[in-house]
Amino acid sequence: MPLSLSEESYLASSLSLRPPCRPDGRDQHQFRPLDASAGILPATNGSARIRLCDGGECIVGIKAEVVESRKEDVALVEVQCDIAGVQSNSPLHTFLCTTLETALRNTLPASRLSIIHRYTYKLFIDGIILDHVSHPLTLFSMTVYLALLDTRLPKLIPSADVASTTTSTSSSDQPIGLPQFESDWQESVPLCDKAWSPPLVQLAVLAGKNVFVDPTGEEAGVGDGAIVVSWHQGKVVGLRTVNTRDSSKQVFSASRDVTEALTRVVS
Amino acid sequence: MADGDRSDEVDAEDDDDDSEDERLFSLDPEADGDARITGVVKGKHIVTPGELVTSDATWMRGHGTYSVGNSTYSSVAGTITRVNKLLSVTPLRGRYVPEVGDHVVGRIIDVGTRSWHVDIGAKQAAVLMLGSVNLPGGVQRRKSESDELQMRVFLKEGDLLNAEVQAIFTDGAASLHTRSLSYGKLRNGYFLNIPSSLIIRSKIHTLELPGGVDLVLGVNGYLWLRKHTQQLGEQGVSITRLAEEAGWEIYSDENEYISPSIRETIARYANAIKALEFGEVGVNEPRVVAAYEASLEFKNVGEMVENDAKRRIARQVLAARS
Repeated sequence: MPLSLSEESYLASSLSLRPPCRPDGRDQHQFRPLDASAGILPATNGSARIRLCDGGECIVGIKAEVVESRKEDVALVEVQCDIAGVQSNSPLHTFLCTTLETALRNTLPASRLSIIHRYTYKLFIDGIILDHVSHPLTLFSMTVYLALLDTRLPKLIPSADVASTTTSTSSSDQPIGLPQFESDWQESVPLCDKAWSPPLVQLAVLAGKNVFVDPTGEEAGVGDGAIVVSWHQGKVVGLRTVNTRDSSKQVFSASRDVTEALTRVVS
Repeated sequence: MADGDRSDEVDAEDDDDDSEDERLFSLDPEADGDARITGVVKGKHIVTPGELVTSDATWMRGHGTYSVGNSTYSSVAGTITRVNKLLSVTPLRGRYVPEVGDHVVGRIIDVGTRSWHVDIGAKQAAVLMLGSVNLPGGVQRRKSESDELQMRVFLKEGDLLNAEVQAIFTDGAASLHTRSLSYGKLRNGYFLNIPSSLIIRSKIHTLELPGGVDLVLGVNGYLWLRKHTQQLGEQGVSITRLAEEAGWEIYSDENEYISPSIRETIARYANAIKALEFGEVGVNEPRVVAAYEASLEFKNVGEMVENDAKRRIARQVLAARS
């Protein structure tokens, strides 16, 4: 839905004021309230649902599969998503999935998923975005974050570990040494603990010299551009600029502004 | 009638004006709690889909109902409305249903030949004929071929306007007109929308609110908050001179200067109205003002996006009315 010219100029000038005035009066770094729940899908290792107050809703389920990790380049995380009302091969899908996949692969150590010697877990992260009014990246990333926190992996029976190390030396093609797991789900271990928590990817909109987190659809529509910030355990680990609208404006010529803005986001 | 007691109860409810205001969706004021209706619908005003409205075959079935044999059932969730022998169910939710005379806010979605298509939140797009707008250079001016060729100069896709519903076509689409200087293109402000069922109809839908802000409260739930400016019709121009006054500026896209404090007030009003929406409180002028006043306890406008704050404002507005 296009905005009218006067609406657009009103919003753009409100956002680029110093201090800015967002249409809903929020602070630059203030999020909208959301409704979140975890562990909603019983057939998954971890799941979560987040609803935003503007009607955006996202459900994520995570399945862990045991794979053989003989090759070094095997991808241990796969992110897929489905967006209601958007074709399944759209650039938006690719953008969401690759952004999160990259963030996860860069921060998730392989040791965290390895089971024993040859075997490792592979995480399949599937999301469905039931509705979105604002850009779905923040919503999707937060839901994945919550689902990963909720993810539990079955507990390994240690005796199997010992058996595999002794036999695997003779021949690696034998199906012996398969990992054995505790059948009691109560015994399962969470994927995340104090040593590692999942990364978060946020979209922030730039307008003039201001940066806005959790932008609404109209804010993203009039903004000069956006930055995608990957955040992991208190640090910014990734940064990208994206266009939120097809404008010919040259936004990122003043890189100093972006850096300045970023330091404010981080702090 | 066996259900005499119940109808008395309904009568008592209807006589109480305050309680009628408290309900978002009141019954048709004409309804007198006739036991023949209220009795068979178990004394309730609200019915759900598939619920029996009446088993009496003498009633005519209107919108929102269907029949099996002699019985009439509701096909929507809503309130029963009765006009003489016609029973209909007005849905609680759903798209805006235009009525002649409604003051609506719309957005141009398409420029056609000699007409614009306008999104007013109804089932179909409304039509705004080239002949139904004020053309620059006077009300009396006849539309010419050059006007047809430069329709995008007047209104283009995305433009917001307020208008009046002039007529309803047989298929339910509305025909709009803006032939008054209080209607036309909207500038100097911010758009928001809420469910149309929350709008309470009144005589005036262009409200002057405290804080130097005007609100165009479209009956279709589309709202326009803008800086208060003297409208062309308010400047003491006599009706006969309107022709000369209406120039090209009525189709301008340029905003006036709007100070940061006015922008903040507009944001505050927008949040106050969203708080009313959150609390499912019907919106009219006194309530918008009450919500604004209740919101003043929040020094920072941004605090009002929290659900607790919204709930608090909605509760205060309802308390202020009683």
